[in-house]
Amino acid sequence: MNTLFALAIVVNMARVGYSAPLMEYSGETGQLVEDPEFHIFVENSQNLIKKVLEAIPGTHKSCIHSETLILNSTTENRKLQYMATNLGIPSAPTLKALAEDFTLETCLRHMSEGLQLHQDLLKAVQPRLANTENLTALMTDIRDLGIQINKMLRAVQAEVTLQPTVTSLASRLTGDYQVQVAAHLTLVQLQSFGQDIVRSLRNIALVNGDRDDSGL
Amino acid sequence: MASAWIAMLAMLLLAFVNGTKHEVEWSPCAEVHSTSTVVVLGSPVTASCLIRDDCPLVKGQAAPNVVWKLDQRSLTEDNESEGSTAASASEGGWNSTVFIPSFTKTRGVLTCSVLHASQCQIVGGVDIRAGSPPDVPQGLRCLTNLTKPETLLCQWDQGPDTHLPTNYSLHTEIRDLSENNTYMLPPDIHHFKIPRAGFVLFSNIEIYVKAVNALGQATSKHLLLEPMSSAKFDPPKVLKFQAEPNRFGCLKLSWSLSEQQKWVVTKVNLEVQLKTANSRSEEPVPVPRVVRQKPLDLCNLLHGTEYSVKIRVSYKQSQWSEWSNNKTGVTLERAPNGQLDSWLKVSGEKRQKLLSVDLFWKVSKQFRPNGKNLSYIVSVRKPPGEKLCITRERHCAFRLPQGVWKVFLSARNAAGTSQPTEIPVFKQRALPAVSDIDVIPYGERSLLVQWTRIDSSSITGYVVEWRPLWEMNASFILFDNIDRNQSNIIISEIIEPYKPYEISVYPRYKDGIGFSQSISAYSRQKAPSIAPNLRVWETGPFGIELTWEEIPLLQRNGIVQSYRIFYWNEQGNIKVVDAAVEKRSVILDGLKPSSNYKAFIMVSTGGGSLNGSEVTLKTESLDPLAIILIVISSGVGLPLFIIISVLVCCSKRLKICFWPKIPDPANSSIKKWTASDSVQDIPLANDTQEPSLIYLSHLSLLDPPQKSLEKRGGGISDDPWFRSSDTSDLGESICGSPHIFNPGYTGLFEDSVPYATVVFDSPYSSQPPSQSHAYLRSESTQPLLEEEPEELSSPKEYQNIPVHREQVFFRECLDDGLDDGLDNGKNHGLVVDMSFNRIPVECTQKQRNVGKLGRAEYQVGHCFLNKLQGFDVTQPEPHRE
Repeated sequence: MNTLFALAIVVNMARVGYSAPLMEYSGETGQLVEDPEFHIFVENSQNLIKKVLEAIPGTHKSCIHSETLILNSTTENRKLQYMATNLGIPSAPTLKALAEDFTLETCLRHMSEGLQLHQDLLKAVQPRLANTENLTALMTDIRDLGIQINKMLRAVQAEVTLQPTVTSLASRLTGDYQVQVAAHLTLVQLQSFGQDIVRSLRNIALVNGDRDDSGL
Repeated sequence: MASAWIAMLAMLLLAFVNGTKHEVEWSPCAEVHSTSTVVVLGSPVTASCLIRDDCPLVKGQAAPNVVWKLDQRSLTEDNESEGSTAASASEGGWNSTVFIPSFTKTRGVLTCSVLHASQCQIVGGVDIRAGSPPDVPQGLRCLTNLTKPETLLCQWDQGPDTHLPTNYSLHTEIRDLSENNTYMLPPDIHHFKIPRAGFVLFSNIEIYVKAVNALGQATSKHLLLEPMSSAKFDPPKVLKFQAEPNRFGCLKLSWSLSEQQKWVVTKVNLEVQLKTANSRSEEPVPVPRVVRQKPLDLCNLLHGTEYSVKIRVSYKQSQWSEWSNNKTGVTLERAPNGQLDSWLKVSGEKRQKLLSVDLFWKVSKQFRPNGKNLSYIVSVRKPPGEKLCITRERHCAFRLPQGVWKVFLSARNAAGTSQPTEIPVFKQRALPAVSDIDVIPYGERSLLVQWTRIDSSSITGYVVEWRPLWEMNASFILFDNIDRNQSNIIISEIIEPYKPYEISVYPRYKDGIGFSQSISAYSRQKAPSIAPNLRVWETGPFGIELTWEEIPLLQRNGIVQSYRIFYWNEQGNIKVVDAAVEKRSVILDGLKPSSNYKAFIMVSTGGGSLNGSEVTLKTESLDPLAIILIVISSGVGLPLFIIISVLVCCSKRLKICFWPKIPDPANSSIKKWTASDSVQDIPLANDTQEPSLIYLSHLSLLDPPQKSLEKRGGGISDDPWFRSSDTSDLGESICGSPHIFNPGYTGLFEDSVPYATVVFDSPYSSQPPSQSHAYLRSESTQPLLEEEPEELSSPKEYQNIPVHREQVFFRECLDDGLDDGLDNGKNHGLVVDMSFNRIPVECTQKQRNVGKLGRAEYQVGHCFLNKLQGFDVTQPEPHRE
């Protein structure tokens, strides 16, 4: 049991905010989507993920009061791996370069699932936090981004099955500190996952003919 | 009356007691019902009033007397248009009904009253409201606000008043979310801000409004929109606007969206407004672009020019944001390019070694300064060459040596010098001027200049030159080069109303510039700012002479058309006298001695008149001594004068005694023609009348110098006297003369020299061949004057120097070409330029030119013989202009 727990911590360390940057996508192995609206969905998603990433620091600042919970502090965040496991915060789905074994559909599905996961985690902590105005706006942006990702999924003729993430987070938030740590860890993980989405979207845009750098 | 009150109180008391006793069973005396309490405005209303039998107010009455009222107004049977009533017995009481055919009030209270003991008691009532069902909400529009908190503001038009409380609700449907929302609004609110959670930025949302009141409901048209496409962005920011190295004609624009909208990383519509510092246009041309938030190059700009830029953005079809902040940038400089329009005027005598030149220039439409600090270089040769001037002005005056036929004008800035513009130097030539120049005001700050075109193949165009008359500095002179086919131009640069300008039109010929015609003009006139002060110049018993100063130029405000003097005596008899505009004086005559008068001056321009201040005048009294002297002198002096005159006429002796015969050299024939020709010119200098020209074709010495002939060994071909062919056909008058070979001729040292001339009454070339000319001959014992050709002014040269050659030839005034001179002399009434035995003859030419607006310029042609020994020649006086 202890061995398994230790393994879980190691796995979490690799996922929660410290995932290695994705390789730059060449786009050669991607899939071309013929739907003329697809590139609009990609552009909209690029806008929205940028909006989410820009909103995270402000949201973190308004919700997290603990001075030890710093958004971009690698050292401090390493110390929270146990808490992450203990609180039952699932790791985000993996995003990587499009390849034969990682198709566009898979990529989009992972994006959708990841967004849904973070949406549910934030929903779990929201009732326990004060000053949730920014958090609500962030959740709305995540919702909007999810809609665009799901549209892309439909465009690649994949079935969208959105299921609420099964998480026991709400039940484990026994105290304010746990709430603060849970919100902090969720935002840190969302930031990392969002950066992966940016790379994935750039890859998808390249594959689909938009050579103009979005400037992200 | 008192008994009635007591009875009523008793009944109320009884009713109260009964009521107290049977509290549970209490019921009102009457009940009023209407078909509806809210009705459509103008619709009928029916109401009934059921009065119970046991109502104390009707007890004992066979039938109650019921009165209906709408607010304060009774509805009786007499007035059926307002309402009619009816009453009938019903079970348990009496029923009275009222019918109002058209309920026109938006709100009214209908009351039912019973008449009891001559008192009207209200037993019941109903409040009725009238209005209209809501109209369909119009003009539904939504605007997304992307500044936090993000909202979607929807609003619609208020619509007509329904007179009833109307509630609106906003309904949204987001299909991507499968979500419908309804937002209820307080009554009569016509806008609502949908919160961020209520819309998806990039998903269509269907929105409509529902209006509900007591009479019905209405739903607006459904609006389908994408919130992002309905967003009005905050004004973007211009971060940098500057030139990059070696990027000529380009400026790099760095910009960004506002802080809260930086997340929009995809393309947006960008509109760029560029404006140069010199741009007169209020609305610069926008440059629409679709770009991402990245720096962009704006190219095809003018070199060395400062641009001001501002931008605005929109997303797809959304509203444009407000304009950003302004930022300025300067493009890299380059050497100026393009031609400069120029106007070169040569003045001064052609005989002078250096010509005075005024050169004006302006940038052509093709000219590009390409830099800020522009200066101009005028040089004799292409730069680098001898520079005549370097200036930042657009005018340069310099002196140019004879023989220079062109100058070069180039522009220079920090980056280099433009290609020079070659400007030909045309010496002054006697070429025809344009005619019928006219200037018409064209708006308040423009003048339309018109003239009659010159029908000549050698015309290449015209130059219109104008200058403010109150500025003497030549830098204020402006010009425009006009095509040869054009005969009018609108000038507006520096033209201001109520200020005088001089406009001149010069014809450009292939080989020179013609005479100008000038005219003064105002674009708009008004009454003068000041009136002149009257001054008494001379006072007499019967008249007073008044004078006044000219009004300063800038205070005239127009061309003075008249001076009018109003004067009156003590009895108030007003008289008016007009004065000539150019005289500025007037004599008030017919006045009485020792009388007081008052006067004022009224000065008028084309735009109005102004009265001067009033002055008091007094005539002198008559002097009795002066009267006596006048009477005596006229009574004695006049008869005496008559007697003497008669005696003188009758007596030759007396005549010889008083006027002895003295030989008069002035009456020689040569004096006659001298007097009739050269002296005749003299009055022209003092006279502004058109000169009456006499054309002198030839002046000959009839007796050639013998010594000269002898010295040459009888070879007459070397003597200029015998080169008659050099003097064209006119030389025949010399060759054909019998005195040419007169052996008695000894030149200057002889006692007598014969002279002769031919005098025409019209230009030589225009004379018919058969016309006989006056041929005058004269002799003089006076030696001929000779002088050195170079030193004309030295008196020593006139003395005792033998004549080397005697020659007569004809030239055009101020022109080298003999043929041209004759031709032009014909056209302009030009008298000839003469050289006679190296005797200088001065000749000037001008032409009379009268401006239409009262300004006159006299250009009179005449020639003067000067220093011609043996003739009484008067030195000419300068012209008066």
